[in-house]
Amino acid sequence: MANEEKVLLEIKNLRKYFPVKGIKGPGVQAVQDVSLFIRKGETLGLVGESGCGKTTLGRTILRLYEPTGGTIIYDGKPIYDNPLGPDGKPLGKCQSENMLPYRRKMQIIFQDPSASLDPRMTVGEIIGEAIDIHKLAASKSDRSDMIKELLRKVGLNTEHANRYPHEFSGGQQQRVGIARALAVKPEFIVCDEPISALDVSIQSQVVNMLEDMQQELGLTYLFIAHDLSVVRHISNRIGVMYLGSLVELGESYELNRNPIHPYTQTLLSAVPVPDPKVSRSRQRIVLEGDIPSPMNPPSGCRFHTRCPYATEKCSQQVPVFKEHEPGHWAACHLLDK
Amino acid sequence: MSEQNSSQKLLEVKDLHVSFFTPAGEVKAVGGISYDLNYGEVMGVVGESGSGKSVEAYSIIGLLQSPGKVIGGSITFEGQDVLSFSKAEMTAFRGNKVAMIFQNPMTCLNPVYTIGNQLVEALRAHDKNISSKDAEKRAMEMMEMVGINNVEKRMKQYPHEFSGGMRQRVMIAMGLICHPQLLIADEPTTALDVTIQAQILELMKDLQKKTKMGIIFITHNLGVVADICDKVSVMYAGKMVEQGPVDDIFYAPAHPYTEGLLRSMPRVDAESYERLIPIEGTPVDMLNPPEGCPFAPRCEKCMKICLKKMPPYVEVGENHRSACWLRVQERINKEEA
Repeated sequence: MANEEKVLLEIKNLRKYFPVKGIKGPGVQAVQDVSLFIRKGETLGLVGESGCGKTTLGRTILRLYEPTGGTIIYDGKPIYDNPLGPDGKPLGKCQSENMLPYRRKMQIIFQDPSASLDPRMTVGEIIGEAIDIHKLAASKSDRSDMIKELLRKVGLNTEHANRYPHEFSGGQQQRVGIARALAVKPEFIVCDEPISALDVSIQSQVVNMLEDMQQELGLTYLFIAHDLSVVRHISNRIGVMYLGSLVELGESYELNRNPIHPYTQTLLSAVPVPDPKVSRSRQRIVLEGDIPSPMNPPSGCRFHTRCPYATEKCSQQVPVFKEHEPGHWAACHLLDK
Repeated sequence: MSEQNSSQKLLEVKDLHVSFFTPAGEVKAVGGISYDLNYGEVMGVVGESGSGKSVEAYSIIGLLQSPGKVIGGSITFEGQDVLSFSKAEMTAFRGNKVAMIFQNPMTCLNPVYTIGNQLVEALRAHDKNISSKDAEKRAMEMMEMVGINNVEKRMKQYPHEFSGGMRQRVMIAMGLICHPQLLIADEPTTALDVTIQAQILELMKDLQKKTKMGIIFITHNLGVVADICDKVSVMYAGKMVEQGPVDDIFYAPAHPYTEGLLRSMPRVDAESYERLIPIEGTPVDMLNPPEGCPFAPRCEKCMKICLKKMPPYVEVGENHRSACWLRVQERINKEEA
């Protein structure tokens, strides 16, 4: 655990809206004022159902999507600064850094390996492109040595550099994606559902490799996935998102033993456990209904329309995201007594 | 399940062989699988993508498409030989006796017809004498049964107006509208979020209890299997490597592949961090399958004979059998002693 380590990345009230043509108002409110920090060398897991904004949050942190408001601080320096005013609207005095030097430090691994590799480039060219952009190789032979070293690191053969992506299986393609991210020697990697598209027997291979890389290179991960058991396995801390908001955040085992937000409790009880006896004996909380549209989210607490404990207050006031126990944060009115 | 007719055989598959004749050569997608399914029983079929689990199900319901062909074995449903059915007999059989639900409900529903229209069509295709009023009434009853509210309004809506979970409910309603004895569910919850998956699993368990139908549940998620199935078949590269009651499969797996799968999955209820033990290697290339046991190249307990000959099934417990030379060896040792 990297408990006393310094904070590598911090976001404050980060917000991302996608405007919708022909419709008045803010559009799709994909990420709604999320604040969190990631310590150097740790893995922060991010879970939630599809459409809850976890991928958008990951991409907004990297400024692959331009934020609508809020602050992103990387390694002590603000790379985007547009704080919210007292009326809850961004001040508009946007301060933003040139991202190129930061692109070297912050990388991303995508969900679908076949869609994120250019089919007309060889694996060597795909990995080499990143090295060229940041001018990391001193000579041609240096460049090819780097590519070979990267391929070895992710468990591929050096001869694979001359092959095209379609010649590889899904697991191997994901390894190429990881090698590409590692090519620029980053410090921070957003892993956006890196194993969801892989077969069960291959998933654990990739998870173990990501863990080894972290140990060896001192990487910091933001690990996004909808599979809670994998996230719990790989993360030091976990954040739970619902409809664009962060509802709970805590140490990964603490969050699993003692979830305090009703949504986290439901999510945990819905995960199927590969153990028939446990499956038969446990009580499952089944939520009614579907996720509301992020274009028109419910007032107050966004979860109140499906929450079994909702009171009138929940539909009127937005709960504050605060620390209830050391290191365990949540946003729920029920905890305020 | 201990219903009064639970000992009766509903479906018997014997030594089924299915091949795809592709330009690159014959792909033996299913290489000799056998099993029984009784009334009111839920059988899980687990395996990686390409292991032949869907192909096997498609051959039962006669949906196998060229270049796929059943080249050997038999399928007996309530004493009738399914493979000898004429086209007309197959059409009557399909939907009436056996229904299937698929992974992606959006691609199975026609976007330009209303949900009500499609439900009524499914019913009238099999019951030509039913009046349109009665058919509509039955469709509405089915929709209520699968937990869709506001039925009259919902009948007039189009598929795009339904959420993923609701569409899957419609598919289940459509499958069950003719009261089939067997339901084949091909990854019905894979495309859904965990909380919605929990809803659909509860619904299927509930309907199964009410209708006493048999279910073949195809999935790669062992957690789902533990939750809903009575017995399990584990498939690898077209072979059924292990088959048995759900508890035996999870607590006393008798095939290295099953053991490997269970070990490689992180569990959401684990107490502390344990490194995952992956199954090394990559899935089998079905065009050039290895000789002998298909799992041998990835098996840590591989012996010389494993690379030469496919092992026979060995009974390792009541209704529990496994195809592994280790079990054969154990059996011989026991007999000698």
